[in-house]
Amino acid sequence: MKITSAEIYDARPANNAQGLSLVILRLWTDEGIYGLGEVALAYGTGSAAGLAMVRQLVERYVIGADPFRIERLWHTMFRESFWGLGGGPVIYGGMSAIDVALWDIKGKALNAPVYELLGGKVNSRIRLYANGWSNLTGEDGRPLICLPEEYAGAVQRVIDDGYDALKFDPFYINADRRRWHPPLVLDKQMMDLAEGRVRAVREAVGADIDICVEVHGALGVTSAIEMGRRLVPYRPYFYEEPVHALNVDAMLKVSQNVPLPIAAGERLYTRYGFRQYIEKQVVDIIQPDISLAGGLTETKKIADYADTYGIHVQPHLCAGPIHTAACIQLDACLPNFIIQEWRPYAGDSVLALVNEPLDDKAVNGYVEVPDRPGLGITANEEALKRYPCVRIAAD
Amino acid sequence: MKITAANIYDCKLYPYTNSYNLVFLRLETDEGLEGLGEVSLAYGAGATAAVGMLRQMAERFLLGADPMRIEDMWNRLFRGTFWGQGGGPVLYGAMSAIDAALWDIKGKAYGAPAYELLGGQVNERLRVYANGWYSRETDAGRVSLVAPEEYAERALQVVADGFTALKFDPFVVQPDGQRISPARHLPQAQADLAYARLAAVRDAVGPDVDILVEVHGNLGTTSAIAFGQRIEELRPFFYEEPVDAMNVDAMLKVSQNVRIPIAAGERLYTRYGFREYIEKQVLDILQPDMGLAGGLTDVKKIAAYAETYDIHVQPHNCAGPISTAMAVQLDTCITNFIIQEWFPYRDRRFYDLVDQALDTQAVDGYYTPTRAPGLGVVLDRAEADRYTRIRIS
Repeated sequence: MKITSAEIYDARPANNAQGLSLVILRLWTDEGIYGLGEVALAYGTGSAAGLAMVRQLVERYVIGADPFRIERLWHTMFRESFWGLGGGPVIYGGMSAIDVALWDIKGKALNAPVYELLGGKVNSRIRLYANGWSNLTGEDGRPLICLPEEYAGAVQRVIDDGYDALKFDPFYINADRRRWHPPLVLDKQMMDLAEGRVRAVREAVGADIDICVEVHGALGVTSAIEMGRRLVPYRPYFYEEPVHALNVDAMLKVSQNVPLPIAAGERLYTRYGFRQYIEKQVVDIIQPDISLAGGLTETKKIADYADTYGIHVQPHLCAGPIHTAACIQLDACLPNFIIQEWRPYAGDSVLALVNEPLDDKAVNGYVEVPDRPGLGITANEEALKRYPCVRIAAD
Repeated sequence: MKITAANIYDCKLYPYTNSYNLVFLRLETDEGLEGLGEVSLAYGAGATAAVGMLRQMAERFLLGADPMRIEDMWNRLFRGTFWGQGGGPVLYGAMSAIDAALWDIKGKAYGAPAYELLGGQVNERLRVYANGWYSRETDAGRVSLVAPEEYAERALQVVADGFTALKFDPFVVQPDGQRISPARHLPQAQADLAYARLAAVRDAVGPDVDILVEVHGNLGTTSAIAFGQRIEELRPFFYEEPVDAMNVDAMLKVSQNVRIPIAAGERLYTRYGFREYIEKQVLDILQPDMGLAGGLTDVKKIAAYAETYDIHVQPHNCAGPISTAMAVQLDTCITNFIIQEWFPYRDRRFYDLVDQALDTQAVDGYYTPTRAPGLGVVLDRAEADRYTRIRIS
C-alpha cells in the first residue's frame, strides 16, 4: 500500500462556541482506504502555521510512503526535518496529524479499532469531565458568566447532563466581566473572586462531583501557591497548569507547596518534553495532546513512561471530532488512564465534520469505546466540502 | 507611532527541495520608518509554517501597535498567542523576526544602531569563522567535498581569504558524494573518514587556524563521546551539537566525557530553552539563533544569564543577510561574545537581497560593525519583490 494523495482542510465551522479553527488532514491510499488526523492548533495563534506545516511534511515525507510503517515515518520526520530535533507545537502537531491518520489507515486495513493495535482494550467505558460550560458569550461579546452565583447557575446544566466531573478556569474573566490574561501576581480582589467562583460551584454541585481547576499557566509561582492553598478546602480534583510549563523547576516548587494533584502537559511535546515533568514527579496527571505531542505513537510512549512513576493520563482535548476519536482510542488501551477532557457544548457544526462523532454520545458522564475499525469515524463529505482545502497528490 | 502594515517575504531561492527558503518581514509605520526582521527557518521543514505564523501574528497583534513598546510586544505575543507559552522554532522564530523589526524601527527613530540602545558598543570588531565552504549549490544540486585531500585544499583557500577559523561537518558527505546524516550509532568506516577529513584540514592549516567541528546533533551519546575523545588531539575550537538538544542530560554526559568545549543552541529557544544548558554547565558556547531564539530582546537576556557561568555566545547564523545583521547587533553589545558564524561563499542571490550584505565584508577574518541606524541593513526592494510577498495592512 502507498499514500497517493492528501487533503488538508482549513475548517472554521460557523457558530462554533469556542471559535475553533480546525486543521484536518486526510491521507488517501492506493487501496481506497483513507485516514484522518488533526493538528490541534485550533485556538490561539497557530492554525495557519499548522496548515502549512502539515502540508510541507506530507509533501516531503508522506506521499508515496508505505502507510503501515508508522514508527519509521515518525522517526524520519523527527530526524530529517531538522526542526524535529528541536520542535514545538507546529512541527510536532504536523507530525501528530500524520501519525494519527496512519493509525486510522492501519486499523481500517486490518479491520481493527486502533486500540486493538496498541495493546488491546483495558478500559471499555471512558469517564469524562465536562469543559466549556462556563465560557459562554453574550450578544454584546462579553462573558455571560462572571459572578460566583452565575457560575453556580450555569453549572447545573452539566449536572443535568449527567456528568460527575467538570472543569473551569476561575481566573480568566476579571471583575469587570472581561476576558484577560491574569497578571502573574493576583491582587486580593481577584483572588477572592476566583475562590468565590470555586466555592459557589462546589456548593451548587455538592460533595460528590469532581471539580477540576484550570489556570492556563497564567500565574506566577507565588500567586499559584497562594491560590492553590486557598482552594484546598473545596477539594479540587486537580490544579491544572498553575504556572506555565516552560520551567519545570518552577512548577515543581508549586507542586511541592500546594497539597493538590497537579496536572499539566497540553504545551509539552514528545517524550523529551514530558521527561522532566515525569522524572522530577512534578505532576500527578499528565495531559498530552495527542494531536500535538507526537500522535498516538508518541503519546503511548509518554503514557507508558509516566506509568513507571504512577502518574495518570488525561489526554487534552480542544479540537475537532477526529481528535476526540483519537483520544478515546488511546484511553481504551492505557492502564494509567484516569479521565478524559470533554467539550459537549462545542456546537453541532464542529461535530458534523464526521458521521459518528463521539462528542454527543456521553451518557451519565461516560462514553463507550466504539468497536469500529481505525479511529471509528468516517468523514462527512458534505460538511468537509464547505471548507477551503489544499490537495496534494503524487506527480 | 503605529505599525501600519506588515510585508512577509517568502523567498524560495532555489528550485530544489533541500534548498533555502528565506522568510523575512518588513514592517511599515505611519511615520515612514520601516523595520526588517528574519525568521531563521531557511532549511529543513518549517519556512511555510513561519509565513503562516507571521501572517496571523501581524493580523492579530501588530497592526496599529506602537512599535516602540518592544518588551511589551514580546510579552503580548508570549502570552496572547497561547502557544508562546509552549512554543518552538516556528512560533519563537516569528516572534524573533518581529522583535528585530521593532529594534530596527527604534534605532532609526533615534538615529542610532540597535546595539546603541542595548548598552552601547563593547566590541570594536567581531571575529568570524567561515562556514559553507565545503559545499556549494549549483543548478544541478548541492556539490560537496568528499576526500580528505579535497577538504584540506579548500581549507587552505579559506585561510587565504583571510579567515582564521572555519567550521565543517565531517560526517554528512558520504564517499559517493551524497549527503546522508549519520545514524546515532556511527559505523566505524564513517568515523574513520570523518577523522581523516579533520586530520587533513588540521595538517594543512597548521596549529594557528581554529577548526570548529559540527555534528548537527546526529550522533547518539556513545558515538559522540567516542568520536569526541578521538579528535581531542586535533584540538578543535569546539564540538557543536554532538548530540541533539532534546535531552540536556544526554548532552551533559557528552560534555563531561569529552575534553573539547561543547557548543549548541540553534535548536533551543528563549531563556527557558537555554536555562538548563546554562545551569548544568553543559555548554561552553551558546549558539542562539537571532531569528529563532526570541530576537534581540530575549537573546540579550540569555547572553547575560550565560555570563554568570562564564559561558560564551556565538550566535547561530544560517539564513539570510538580515539574520546576519541581527547577529551583528547583538555581538557588538555583549561582553561574552566569542566569534560569529559567517557564510561568505553563498550564491549571489542571498546577498543581493540587501545593499552591501555584511556577509561579503569580512576582512582578515573580522567584521567591523558600522554605525548605521537600526539593524544596519537596507533591503533591496526591487530584488526582494522578485519573490513572493504577502502584505497585511
